[in-house]
Amino acid sequence: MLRGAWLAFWIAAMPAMNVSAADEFSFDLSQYGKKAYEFGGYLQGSAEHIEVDRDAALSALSFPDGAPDSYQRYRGVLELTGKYRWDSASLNTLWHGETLDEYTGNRHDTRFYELYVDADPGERWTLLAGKRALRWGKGYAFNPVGFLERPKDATDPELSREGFVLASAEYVRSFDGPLQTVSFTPVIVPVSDDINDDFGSEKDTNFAARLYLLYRDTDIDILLRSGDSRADAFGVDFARNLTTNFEIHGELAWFGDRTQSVLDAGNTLVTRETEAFDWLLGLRYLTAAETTWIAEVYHNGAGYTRDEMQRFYDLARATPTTPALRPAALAARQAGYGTPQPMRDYLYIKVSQKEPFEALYWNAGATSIINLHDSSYTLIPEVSYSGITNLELRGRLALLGGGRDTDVGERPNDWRAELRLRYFF
Amino acid sequence: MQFVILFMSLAMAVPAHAGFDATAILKEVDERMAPASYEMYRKLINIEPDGKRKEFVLYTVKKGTDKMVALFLDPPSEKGRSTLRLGDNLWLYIPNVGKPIRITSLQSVVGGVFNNADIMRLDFSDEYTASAAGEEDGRYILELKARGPAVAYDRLKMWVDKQTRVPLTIEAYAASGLLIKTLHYSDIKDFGHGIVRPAKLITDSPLYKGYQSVMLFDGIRPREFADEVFTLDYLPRVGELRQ
Repeated sequence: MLRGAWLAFWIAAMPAMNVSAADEFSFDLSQYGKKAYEFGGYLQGSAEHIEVDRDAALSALSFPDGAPDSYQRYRGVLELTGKYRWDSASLNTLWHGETLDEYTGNRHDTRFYELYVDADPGERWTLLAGKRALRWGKGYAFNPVGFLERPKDATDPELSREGFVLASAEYVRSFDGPLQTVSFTPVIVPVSDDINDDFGSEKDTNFAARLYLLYRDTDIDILLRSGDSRADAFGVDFARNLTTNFEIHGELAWFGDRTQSVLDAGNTLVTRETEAFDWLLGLRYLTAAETTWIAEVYHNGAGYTRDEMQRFYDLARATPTTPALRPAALAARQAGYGTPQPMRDYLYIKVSQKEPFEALYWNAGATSIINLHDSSYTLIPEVSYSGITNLELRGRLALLGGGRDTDVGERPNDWRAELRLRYFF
Repeated sequence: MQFVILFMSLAMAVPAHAGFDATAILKEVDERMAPASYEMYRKLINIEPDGKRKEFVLYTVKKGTDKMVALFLDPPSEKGRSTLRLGDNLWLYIPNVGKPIRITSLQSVVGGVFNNADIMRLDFSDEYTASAAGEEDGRYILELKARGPAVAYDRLKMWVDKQTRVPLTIEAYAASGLLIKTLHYSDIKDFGHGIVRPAKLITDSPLYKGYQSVMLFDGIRPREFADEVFTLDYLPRVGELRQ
């Protein structure tokens, strides 16, 4: 009797158990079809502790009333992406909002990084008009041939960046044989008081183009830019896997009539012609233990020499005692001396270990950018965790090394610690 | 007498694998698993020892023997990432980075037991040469050897169901002989268009003790694509191919 009751129970329970087993791994395809609207983005919060180098030249310039020993910086970022499709066209947006609270005050900024319409009349054509960030070149940290881009943060190259208003077309063809792919992308970038006013000083209609070839397993780009807003430019780049885990890449850019703002002996900014070439040579290597090495040597033809930087440091350091010099020092910083890599030659190295000690979803690594003229450097060890769906945690420590009168040694920080939390939706 | 004993011993030691053509069976396995050109949806589930899960959804298109693109549709943190494979070359496109970078098949895009080689695998017969290793319990056992160094696993041992000609178990080994992972196919399902194949793949690895990765297959159907779909310029638009 008891056995019969158990049998009846199991027979009754079996359908339910089957449902449970089927539900263990479910896959509802209807959620993933193409929809007219798409919406997403991320919300990010970060906190930084900054230890100030009170004796640095740029501290004197950044803190005219005296530098603190340290301070905290809090940043909130909201990025929203959207797409609306109709027929073979779509409207695309990337909106960026940011609020920053730090020692020198609060700042807020909201803007569309991208807002454009594109149309795909077929697989071979794309037409685009609006504000769009184009990324040209093969380098990870630096892109000499990024002729239509805003500057990249070499310490965090995956951050999204604001684009320029432009119109472009793209035509692509594939072939059988050694030449596998050809694509051609002409671009028009207008500059006026209302459009792209920070692209260049001259109001003009600028043209650029990119010819891409995949030839014998090598990516090759030939790029140019022409117009009065910026110097004419011509560039080539390449990338190729020498073996399955060893990639090399390079970029070479030539600029015509390239000028640079330099401080003269009287601390006045003057314009002079400078070296026409920028170049980059890099590699990416993956070891059997899933350690990735990225190394790039970058030559900035419009970079300053040590003597030129020394003049700027002397000027900046003199501003607390001679406030009349402050406008000239600020103008020099704005004109190029204050850019993240203002000098001529840098070495970028990034090493990252996926899932160290078999810790799933963890990544550990370090990035270093070394000034090859004065041996000053930044070293940024970091650890990140992405084990919680749609949540990404990252901790970073930025150590700045170098003596007096060196590129990194004269920056306002000794070190900086950052904790960042990003939620995707 | 000694000769007879020796002959009988040798005959018993030789596995019964001379009776089938391993190359033909591997070709048939490829044909059963998917048409030459197709689109497909996959869900990847990483399961940790404590039962915690992380899921990813991919849309994949493939053409011929050497062209494949996979696009992440979910979760939002991965959405828009796509991987292009042309023969031995792989590129990864990340929307924020905005340009494709070259990667290697050994890397893991999602973390866990699956790596790019599992996600971007071409037909077995394009990547491996097959030899017969034996038969047992209604299954052929094939020994697969990588055709070149670009293939992620140097050697596979594959158990193929004799009736359906689909793989049931695959062991993946490194060149050193180390077992990297074991793949278990199950839930043979009729996807229509004459495609009858496993809908589920469970993978475990001695390198990730206690972890499991599951791949669910759906929406597999034959579809022709222009060659231009498999180019770097098309990567930001792969999602538009969905219907």
